[in-house]
Amino acid sequence: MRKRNRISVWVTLPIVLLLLLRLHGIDVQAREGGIYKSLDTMCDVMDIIQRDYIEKVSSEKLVTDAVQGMLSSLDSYSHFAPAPEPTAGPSAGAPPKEACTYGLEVAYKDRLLTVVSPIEYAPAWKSGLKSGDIILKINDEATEDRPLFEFAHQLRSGAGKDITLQVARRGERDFIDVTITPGKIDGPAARSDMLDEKIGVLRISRFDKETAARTAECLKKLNAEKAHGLIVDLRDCPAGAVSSAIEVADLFLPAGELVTTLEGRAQGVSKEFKSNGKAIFKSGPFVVLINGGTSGAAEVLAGALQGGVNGILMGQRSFGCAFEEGSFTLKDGSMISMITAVYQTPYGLEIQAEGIDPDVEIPLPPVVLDIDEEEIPEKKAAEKKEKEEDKGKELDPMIRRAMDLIKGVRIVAREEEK
Amino acid sequence: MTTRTLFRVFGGVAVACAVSFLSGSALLPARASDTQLRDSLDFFVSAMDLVQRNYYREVKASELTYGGFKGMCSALDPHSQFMDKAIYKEMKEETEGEFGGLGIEITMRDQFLTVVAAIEDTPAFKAGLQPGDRIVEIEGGSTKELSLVEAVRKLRGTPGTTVHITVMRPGKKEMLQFAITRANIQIQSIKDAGILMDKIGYVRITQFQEHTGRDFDKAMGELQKKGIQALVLDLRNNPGGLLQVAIEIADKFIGGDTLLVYTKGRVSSQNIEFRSHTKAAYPDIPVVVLVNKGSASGSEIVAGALQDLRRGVIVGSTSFGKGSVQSVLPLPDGSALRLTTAKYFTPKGRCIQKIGIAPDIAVTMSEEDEFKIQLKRRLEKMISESPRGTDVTAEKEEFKKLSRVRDLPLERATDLLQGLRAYTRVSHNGQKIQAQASTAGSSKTGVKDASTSAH
Repeated sequence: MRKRNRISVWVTLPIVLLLLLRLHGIDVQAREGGIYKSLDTMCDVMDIIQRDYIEKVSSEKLVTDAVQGMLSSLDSYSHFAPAPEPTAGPSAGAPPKEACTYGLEVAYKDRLLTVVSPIEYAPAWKSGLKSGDIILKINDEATEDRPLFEFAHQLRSGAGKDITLQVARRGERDFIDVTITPGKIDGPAARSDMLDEKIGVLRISRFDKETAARTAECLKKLNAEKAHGLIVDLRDCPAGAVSSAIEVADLFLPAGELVTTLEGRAQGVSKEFKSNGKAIFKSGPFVVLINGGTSGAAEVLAGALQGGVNGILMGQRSFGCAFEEGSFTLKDGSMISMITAVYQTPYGLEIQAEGIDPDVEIPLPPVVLDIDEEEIPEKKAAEKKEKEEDKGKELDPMIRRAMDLIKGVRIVAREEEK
Repeated sequence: MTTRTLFRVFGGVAVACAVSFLSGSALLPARASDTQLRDSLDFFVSAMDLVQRNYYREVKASELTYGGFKGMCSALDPHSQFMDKAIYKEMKEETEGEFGGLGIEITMRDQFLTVVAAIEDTPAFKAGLQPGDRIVEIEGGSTKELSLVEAVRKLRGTPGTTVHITVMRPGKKEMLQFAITRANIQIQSIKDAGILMDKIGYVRITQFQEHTGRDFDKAMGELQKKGIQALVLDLRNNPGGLLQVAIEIADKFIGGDTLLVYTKGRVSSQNIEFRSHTKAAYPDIPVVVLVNKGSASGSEIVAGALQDLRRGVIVGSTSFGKGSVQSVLPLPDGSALRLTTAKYFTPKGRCIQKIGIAPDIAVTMSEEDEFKIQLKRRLEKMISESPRGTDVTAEKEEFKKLSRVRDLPLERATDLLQGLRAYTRVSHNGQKIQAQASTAGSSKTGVKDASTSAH
């Protein structure tokens, strides 16, 4: 065995040297950083598989799987797409525009395909899907261990067909089947309301082209109504355009305040975003509501408000997904997509994977599964109905707690003024 | 024939071939001339370079290649796998059935690291850890963010060293502190050995690991002292383990230099015949083997050999059907590959991949009942093994509820062995039926007759 290894080194070394000589663009650092040794092991592994595996395996297949494995070991977003077959149609291209969509953001959380959040007013939202639902099956096909990109596009865009998801939901005993018909998002991206004691509430449900303009309208209206103190509701607000979140942050932050930083390693990727001084709403205190469905652009905005206007974050830890992706084409036409930079809050906290912790945590109510209750469906249905009626009448408990917080802060602030 | 194929596969470069013959291992592919391999590596290097330059955080070259190995191996088939150092070490511990630890079985329940059971005569058992205890701290660090694997890693260690844990026990207000000294823990693969009734012995093998053969002999020795005349060998939910050890078990029942199993791979070194020793340890005792769809690999080798050689009657439901053999190939850096290198065949040449071993007598049990049987077994253990003074009324209640659940395959197995005994007694006394020479050589045919009558 030992002898064989020595031989393999002798045979491998010249190849590796040859390879390195042939390759352009490998910077010196990478070359010295153990690439030699890694490649030698690579040769060994391929050698062993090709010799001992029960079937013959081509080097090409091995290397394609290796590149795929390398990328998926980084995170669940990075992936490798082999060169498209020449016959492939336009389906391989960009996803259709948002005119027709399921309106659903998914990601892996603890290796389970999870609904980050359905976008408010979108078909998935209307069909009753909830953030945090774990997707077990898509059209009767198990989702287990399939790379994220395979269904991310499928779920976001929708090719005009109905889709049926089987999901597991927190607090529900049985799996739930949800069928979604793709359609339009037919509600505003932002809306506002005036609560008691001149406390305003701004709800942003997605970040797209119209969000900044809509938000500006809302804020002007609240200004006119002399709002003093604002609740920014970013719960269940999934990934969208970060640029839109930055525009929205500009509506609040004093000039020159840090909105967010984009951190990457390649040249020219890292950036700082500062507010442009066009703030139109300045009468705090601000409370920002977040939860596990707050993701991407919404997380960036939450961080900006926390840093720029002392916004108090309230709720549950956010999802943790705010990055820029880069795609690189290899010489055979295959493509590598990977995270090239991640967003940080002004406090220097990396949002990616970790999420943002709220300043004031409101734990989710514990799940109680009562067997006896389960057995009397009529009773359960009645209670559910009751609960829903309550919802209509009363204010969302989170909003109420946010209001209390604003009132409290006002009192303390007044004390300090004295 | 072998040489010819290999030459055809790998082509020229006589030097490499000659050298590897000398070294006694299989042939090296002639790398220097393999332009495809070179192009492939070239491709991997360019992808790796892209990642190293553009990924948002720095990644070591070794991390990337490890990811590559994982991708390569797991794409081959579900049983092939790349094992990094830590996983390889764990696998070794598992198959050796020995490690430095506390002697508890733990699981993640309601997001708490929870003790399932403390194994008898281990440090954890002596310290008084109980099923249901929640381990909230290990060495002062919270277990909240730990995965099960990470927690196991923290609990295991060199025998003789001490680990401090904090435990939350349901019903107790205060946290309990334990300082437990790690010891060499042996995972028992032989379970519940005993007499069922009427001199019918029972042994369950949970997996085939390094000491299984030795432990099996020990259990059988004790049963024989008690005068067993027949044996139920329970291989249900035994996922396999070491091929050699499974063969060792089959060998104990079959003598006379008989073919037990053979493997066939792409490389001639993987074509091996495994034959029994001339003298078997238990050549005569009538055996019924219990299998179900959780019996795989090694279990199927044992069941297949005993079935083909008519040395035992197979009772239960069709087994899993895993007919491939994996070899573990260590790499110089301490990691290893687990690769499917061969398929195995029963003495009669059956490949059981995806087919499984069909029982001679089919007795199926619902999944729910099977689960209840396991639960019953566990409760029984908890009641009998919990340290004195522990409150086990709840467990006793539970157990009572399950008392009506019946292990049908086991009942059928004992019926069969009882009937068999009556039958052979008649045949021996009345000389009505002559024992026939069996394919297995020395078998006394009690079982053989039974298996024919069962068809």
